[in-house]
Amino acid sequence: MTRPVRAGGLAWLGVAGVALIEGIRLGLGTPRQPGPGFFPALVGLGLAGLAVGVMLEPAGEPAAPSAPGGRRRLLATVGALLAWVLLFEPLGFVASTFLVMCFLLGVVETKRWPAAAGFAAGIAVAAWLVFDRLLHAQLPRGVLARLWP
Amino acid sequence: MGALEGLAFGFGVALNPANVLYCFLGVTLGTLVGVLPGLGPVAAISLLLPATFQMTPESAFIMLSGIYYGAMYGGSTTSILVNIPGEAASVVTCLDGYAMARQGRAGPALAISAIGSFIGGTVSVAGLMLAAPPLAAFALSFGPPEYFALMVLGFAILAFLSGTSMPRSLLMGAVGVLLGTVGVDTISGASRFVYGVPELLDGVGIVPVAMGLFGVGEVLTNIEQRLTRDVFVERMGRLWPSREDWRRSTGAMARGTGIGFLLGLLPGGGTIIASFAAYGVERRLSRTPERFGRGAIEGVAAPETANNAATGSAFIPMLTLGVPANAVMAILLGALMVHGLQTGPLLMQEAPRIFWGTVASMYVGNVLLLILNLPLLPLWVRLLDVPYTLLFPLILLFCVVGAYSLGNSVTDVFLMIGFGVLGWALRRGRYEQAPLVLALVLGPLLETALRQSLIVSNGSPAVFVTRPLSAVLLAAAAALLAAPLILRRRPAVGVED
Repeated sequence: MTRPVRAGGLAWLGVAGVALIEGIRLGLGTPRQPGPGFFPALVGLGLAGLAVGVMLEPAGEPAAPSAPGGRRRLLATVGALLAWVLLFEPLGFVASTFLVMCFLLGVVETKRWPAAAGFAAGIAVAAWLVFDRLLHAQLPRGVLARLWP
Repeated sequence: MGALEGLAFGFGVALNPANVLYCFLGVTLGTLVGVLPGLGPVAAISLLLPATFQMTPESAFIMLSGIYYGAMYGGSTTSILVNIPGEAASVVTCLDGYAMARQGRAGPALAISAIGSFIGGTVSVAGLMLAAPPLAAFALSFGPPEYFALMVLGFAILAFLSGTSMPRSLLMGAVGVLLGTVGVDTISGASRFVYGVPELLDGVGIVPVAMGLFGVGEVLTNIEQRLTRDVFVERMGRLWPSREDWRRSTGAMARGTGIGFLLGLLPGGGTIIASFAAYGVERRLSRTPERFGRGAIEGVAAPETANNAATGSAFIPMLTLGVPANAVMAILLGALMVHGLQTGPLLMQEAPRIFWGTVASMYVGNVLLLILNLPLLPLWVRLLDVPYTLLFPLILLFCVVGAYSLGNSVTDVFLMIGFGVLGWALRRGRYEQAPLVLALVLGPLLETALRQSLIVSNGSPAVFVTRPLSAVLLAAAAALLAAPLILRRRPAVGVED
């Protein structure tokens, strides 16, 4: 059993454990009147068995290796996504999207900054026009609301 | 309402100018997401679902369905020209389609693919029209044990046809079912797995999960591994197939239609399985199997016809039984629920505009797709010039906006990002995500059917084996789950993404 397979199997066992404990806490009920915890506990039991089954499987091909700098780009993108959500309501859609697009193109994809900023500005404004104005998606205005009530 | 009467009624709905426009929008967007690698129909439909809230239910369903079958048409383009399937069901088309492109015969490959898609799609809609009404009438006799058994069979088929391994596929199903228990229990009213987050009281939505797994997860994988592609556009050759191409493709298209239609019907089946099966049958029937993988046009005609035939028949279990056959159908089922429609065998009677309007719109959509895909082929090919470095920020933007607009809440966006990271990890761990999405939708139905069956039988699990139909379905499920142990041989195909 390889390390990633063991780690994955243990993670699924953990999920199964949570389902079992929560199911018992919620109440299993009786066969005539199953309680709210009956089904989660049943699924948790099955999940635990399957997690063990996966850990016992013969090792398959290892995952494709990352491209050079791939893991760094991946972490930067996830970080940018989380920052986007945190800034989404305080800064508003246009400003937060502009900043995140600049980061993705300028830092993750190492494009030249003027090009990255130009593309980011175009995308942020175009997306706001399409989604907010045309499709009425009610995106947060944030700072824009103070500048242009 | 009889089939012809229903179809006439459906054309009245589908040919309404607004619905023709939505159908056109749907098939165009579908072709677009099919052409562009990294954005499949699951993510696209999830993304556009919030935008349909202001439409009438039939317009919304016509447009979202158009995206699904449109993506099957577009998916072959990248398989043939770039050797990257734009859509998971076009994976097998890469084998002979790309080989034809390297020989300077991309034109006939693309043309046969579009024509086969049209034939498969149109015939399967006729099948949907004829098979759905009697099946819905039969399904009215289903009780909770039959529904439970049917869904168990769906999971068994999904696991049996899994491209990775049966335990992994079943494990993904179990995780999806467990996620389906989050929120308020509809029978007792108790909150489960909510942990003080009020947004979770309504459960984990399928849209953030699907967009995270299929949209964000795919982007993260491509960013990590640097997606590259070489487009064989210069040597596309003449577009129209030769007489020899037609001779070789006709039988393949006919068989592909039959295989696709039958496999699309199965809960847990779908377009990918249909395309692999049709390809396998052609190779087995061929007098020159050594040509396959080296540019045999039958290797393009059969899978492309089959995956489109499967799209039509996949609607049958969803519209008649309320049981989705694949991840896309699961989201479409969610779309019906969002629009306040009760799914199941009564849908056809209670919402005929949805059922017959969608059936008729598929005829319209297939004609539109043929027009879009043959003369406008060079335009779609141009899209492949868009570098991924510009494409991926746009995909992320669509995902974030789509998740936020569901309920104007950042909780859904956080959930989507979480599932995006999970999707990346699952790809690395060789887990398929489609069973998880399908199980998320089937889970609550499965639980309700199980608990209702136990309540009506005074807690006796024998109810599942004493009712004949339920017993047959469960026996079939058990046979499928035991088959690999006995045969030690399973088809190596994946389930639909």
